[in-house]
Amino acid sequence: MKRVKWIATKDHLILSGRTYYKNDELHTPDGMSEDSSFANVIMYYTSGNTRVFTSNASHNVWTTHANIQAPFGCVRPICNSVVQYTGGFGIVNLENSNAAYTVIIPKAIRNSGYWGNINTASEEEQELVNQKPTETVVFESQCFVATKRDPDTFEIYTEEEASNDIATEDLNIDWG
Amino acid sequence: MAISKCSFNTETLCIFNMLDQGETIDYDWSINTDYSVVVMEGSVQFQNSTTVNYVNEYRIQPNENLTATAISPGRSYFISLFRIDVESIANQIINEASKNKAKTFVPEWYEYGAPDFSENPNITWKDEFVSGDYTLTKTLIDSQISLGDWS
Repeated sequence: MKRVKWIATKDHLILSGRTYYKNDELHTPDGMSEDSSFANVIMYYTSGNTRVFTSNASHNVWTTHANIQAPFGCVRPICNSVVQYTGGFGIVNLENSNAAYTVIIPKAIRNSGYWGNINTASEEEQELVNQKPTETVVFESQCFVATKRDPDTFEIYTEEEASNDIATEDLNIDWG
Repeated sequence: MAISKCSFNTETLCIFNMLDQGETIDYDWSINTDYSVVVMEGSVQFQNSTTVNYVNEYRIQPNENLTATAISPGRSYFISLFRIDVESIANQIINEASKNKAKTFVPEWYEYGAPDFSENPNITWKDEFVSGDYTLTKTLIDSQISLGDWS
């Protein structure tokens, strides 16, 4: 389970995500489209042990990139060609404990491409950000995402619920 | 174990601040407009009066030096955010060399947008922090930018 909070600060949009369990997906901007909004992102890992994967746009195969122990920070710069924006990038929590990250993007691109698709601002909040561009707005809707990823391959999997095939009569144990 | 580390791109200077309970980070400089700080972990008291818990924003007021003390057990992290593509802001914080580097610098990134960690696949900043309070000067910011000391 991932919980995400959005804050529009004076000049930036802050996305702060937190997961609580092993194999929870933290972040996957699936850059398979030619979307330059992935550029110029600053990101910090603030809690937990995580594994970063990247994928090649042409092959769409996830590759282990690094294990990151918080704290750590990285920057995704403007690259020379749009192709360089299109690789996938994902993070998975490696332990049954908190793993958290924060992404900082310029406010100006909050509705562009991927960020426009995932930010949770209501129409009223969007209007407020537009009308008072330097005012702080905390988006009321915090999204909860429950995606599990294999920590070796980064493939999505569904966690099987424990099956309950015990008949009622089997619970009537005779303890002697 | 307080310290501040500067990250930047062509638009933003982001200062990542880490401190343990009871430790204080000071900026011995200010700018003439307000700016945002965001607490990402823990609880931080700013300017000796306002406590901000994670994940929330606080504004440092114009011409005010930042003073931040961690008050929760364990480590607290907060970031300070500046638009260095705005000349009037950049001029108050960094020198010409830093401005030029921020505008033009593209690090040796992995082909698909992430750094190459192949020689050190287990990475962290946790060992880079030093004990005690910390003062972030503009000279230190310029030094960190010149060294690209942010990833």
